Amino acid sequence: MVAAVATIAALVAVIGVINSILTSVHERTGEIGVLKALGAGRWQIFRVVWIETLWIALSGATAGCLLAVVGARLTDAALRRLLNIGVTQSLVRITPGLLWTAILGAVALGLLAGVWPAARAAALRPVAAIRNGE
Amino acid sequence: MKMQDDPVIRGRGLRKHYRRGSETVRALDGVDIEVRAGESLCILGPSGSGKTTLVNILSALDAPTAGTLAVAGRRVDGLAERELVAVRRGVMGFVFQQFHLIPTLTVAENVALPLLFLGRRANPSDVERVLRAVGLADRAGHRPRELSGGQMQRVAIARALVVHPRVLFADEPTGNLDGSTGDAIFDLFERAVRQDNIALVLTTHNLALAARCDRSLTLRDGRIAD
Repeated sequence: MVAAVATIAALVAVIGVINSILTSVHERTGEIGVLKALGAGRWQIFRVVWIETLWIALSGATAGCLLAVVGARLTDAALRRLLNIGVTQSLVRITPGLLWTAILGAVALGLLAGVWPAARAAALRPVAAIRNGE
Repeated sequence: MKMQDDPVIRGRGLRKHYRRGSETVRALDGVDIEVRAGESLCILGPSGSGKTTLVNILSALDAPTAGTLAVAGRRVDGLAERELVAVRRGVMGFVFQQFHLIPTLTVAENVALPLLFLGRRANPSDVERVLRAVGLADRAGHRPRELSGGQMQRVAIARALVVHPRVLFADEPTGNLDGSTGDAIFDLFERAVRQDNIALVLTTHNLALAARCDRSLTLRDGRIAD
């Protein structure tokens, strides 16, 4: 059950990242055309968009982990207040290993999600891109 | 003027035809053209006459549907986009009517961009040299939004010149500027042509600017009219 929820959440996240990057590429079509006119190669454009995706994934993962830690503490406190069962250990436990796995997983998914938008940006033809961006 | 015999750009029978619905548009219809180092060539013509199409083809930004094009003695028609990028890098500089500066970068970073694409480390002295040449050395740390239209076009010229191009393409470079600013911008082009022996290909509707070029040609319906 938990694995299924996690898979769906990961898929939604990947689709969200792809959508954000595609929108960003669309909005900057003219800019990408100019960069190509100035001498940027396919790989250079691909790298710019891909690195941007990596940053989005890394920022999202960091923010998500911070929210998870805060959320776990609040949940722990709420459970203790509601259910006085005499347990002294943490009821909701987030280990450093889990956080690192989440961050690395999000970065991997982000890199995967960035391939298609980055390839689309890299394949833009300069004249059409500049014209569309005006 | 130090004009050289071998043209930097030589186009023969350049055509650009494409389909729009059931009709064939002849954006360019058999143009022969040569541009030499140290020469300024102005392309005139009404809107839709093929000026921008011709500049796009000469600058290897677009491919002709027929005809031959040689840049610095090398045939480039029929090359793949990857090879065209290599042709443009270092050989060509571009100045656009809408300036097309990257808004999130500073003036100096905008100017340094073509150097990065060439794989060179952005040398601050190169950037400073061209910014000084266009009179904007004191604006290096500013963002494009903090500049006037004329200043933005000066930055675009500095960006084009930083790689020491052999040919400079300017599509309606003064179209968004008032008359005196346009004249000042053309002074910069003229200096690049005379001092650095660069070939300049420029499109404009401004007859006064055209008169300042070494040669001009008029396009009409995709053909040279005179």
